[in-house]
Amino acid sequence: MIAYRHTRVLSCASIAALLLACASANADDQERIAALEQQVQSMQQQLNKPVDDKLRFNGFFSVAYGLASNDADYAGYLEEGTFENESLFGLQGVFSISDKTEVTMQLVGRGNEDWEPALEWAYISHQFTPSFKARAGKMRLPLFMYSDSLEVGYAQPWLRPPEEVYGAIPVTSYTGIDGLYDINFDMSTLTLQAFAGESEEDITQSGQEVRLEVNDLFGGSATWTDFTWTLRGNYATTDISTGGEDLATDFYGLGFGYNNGSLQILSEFTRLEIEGATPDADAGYLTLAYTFGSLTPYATYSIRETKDDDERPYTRAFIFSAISNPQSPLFGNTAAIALSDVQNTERSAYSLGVRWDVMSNVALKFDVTRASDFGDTGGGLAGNTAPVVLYDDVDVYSIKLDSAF
Amino acid sequence: MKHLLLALLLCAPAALADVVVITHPSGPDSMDANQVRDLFIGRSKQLPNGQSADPIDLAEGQPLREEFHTKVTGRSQAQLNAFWSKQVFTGKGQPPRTLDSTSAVKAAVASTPGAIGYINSGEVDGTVKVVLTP
Repeated sequence: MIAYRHTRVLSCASIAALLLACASANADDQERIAALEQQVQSMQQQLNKPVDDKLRFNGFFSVAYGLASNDADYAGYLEEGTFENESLFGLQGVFSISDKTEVTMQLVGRGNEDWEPALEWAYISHQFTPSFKARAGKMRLPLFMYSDSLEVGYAQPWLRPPEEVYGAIPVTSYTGIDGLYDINFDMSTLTLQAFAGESEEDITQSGQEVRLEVNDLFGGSATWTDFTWTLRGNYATTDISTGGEDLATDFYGLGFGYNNGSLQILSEFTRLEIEGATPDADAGYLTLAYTFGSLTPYATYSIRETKDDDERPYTRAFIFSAISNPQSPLFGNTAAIALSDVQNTERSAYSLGVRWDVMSNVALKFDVTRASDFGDTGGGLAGNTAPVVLYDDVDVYSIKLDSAF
Repeated sequence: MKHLLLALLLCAPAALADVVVITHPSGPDSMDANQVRDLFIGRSKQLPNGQSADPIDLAEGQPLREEFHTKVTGRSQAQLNAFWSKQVFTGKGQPPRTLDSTSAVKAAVASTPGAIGYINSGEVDGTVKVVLTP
């Protein structure tokens, strides 16, 4: 506020000087006054400089409303509309300990978690050389192109990242270490990342709350970009457990991006392989977006399909009758549902939406998504885990305001 | 206000001109558009002559800012904002500092070794060096 007043006073002084300069029309005076003006402006600039750049705060905010055509439970939406599902806020603080060392913390509060803030990032980073940086702490699991800015809606063209690819991995962060190495070419940069760590998270599996442990997590990614084109490949391996035995798990991802300032093309393909009856799945999407002034309409086609349906040989009808039959050895054993085709997934989704940049740092988005083509599966949707498949498709209508500040 | 506008018009007859990229007089003799772009998107931190770079953008809403970014980064203001929010929230960097006018940019560049900014070509004088006319 004080700096602002100074600015005002100084601006008035420079305007006065300017007017004087014109009145006298003396070339010498004008030059001297111009020089003075520059000095004044340089002082202004020093006044306007943040007093302390050791600490920086940034934030983001999203408020969304959506509803679905039925209760299949796609992207968290049911027939009854809700504001809470995708509304969230984030606050990030970056503390510079030295020129090369920083501590970053990001708190995210989500509407569907009663807005209780949770620490999503908390790491210390050190820039060892201009091209090598290492980090330690809690970080985003870098499985996708948009993993790092997963919840920063303002940074994304879509209302939500394609659910078929992004919605199926319940673990989004890990605790551990990573290293980032930049190789600069003439016109482009290749960034290599390697990471190691672990994670524990409460997840919902076949309608039941379980504790998922992710141990011995290792992985890497390579991203090449020249600002117009982006290519990415990544891999991760881990042992996961939900209380029983450890299941060896591998994840592969390929990403492609193009942005020439107007046309944006985004595409990713992922493959998840888990030992045993836990579903293995392939997923992918293709997004086209085009910017007309402040409007960026987009269209997305995405798919998800389980690849190990033969490891879940029982039909849902058989398993549900077995667990409800007192004569059956499976009586009351709800975990057996996981061995049935309830977990088989076949699904396509088509999204049409638009991002409208209403003002600087505020975007309003509208999206209609239809998920269908479930084949003889329940589409992998939580609302379709009953003894019979209830829904063959679902439409979700959403509106979202994204902001970053 | 009318008098002020009149005064400005009389004093700055050549204010409308093409954007030029300028550095401190100790800066490099010339740069190409990609080198300038990389500094303004935070991909490189050094000028070609080895000086540690201090890129200075114009504040949002300035017409010259749009002209510069259309020609050099190829991004609209909305896309730039989205790009920077991605960089900021992934710990990859902060946008360049901004100043409110081309004369403030010129003064800052003239007095800061390593600084790089852009102004109207009509404002150029001996206090700064033109490295690129995109």
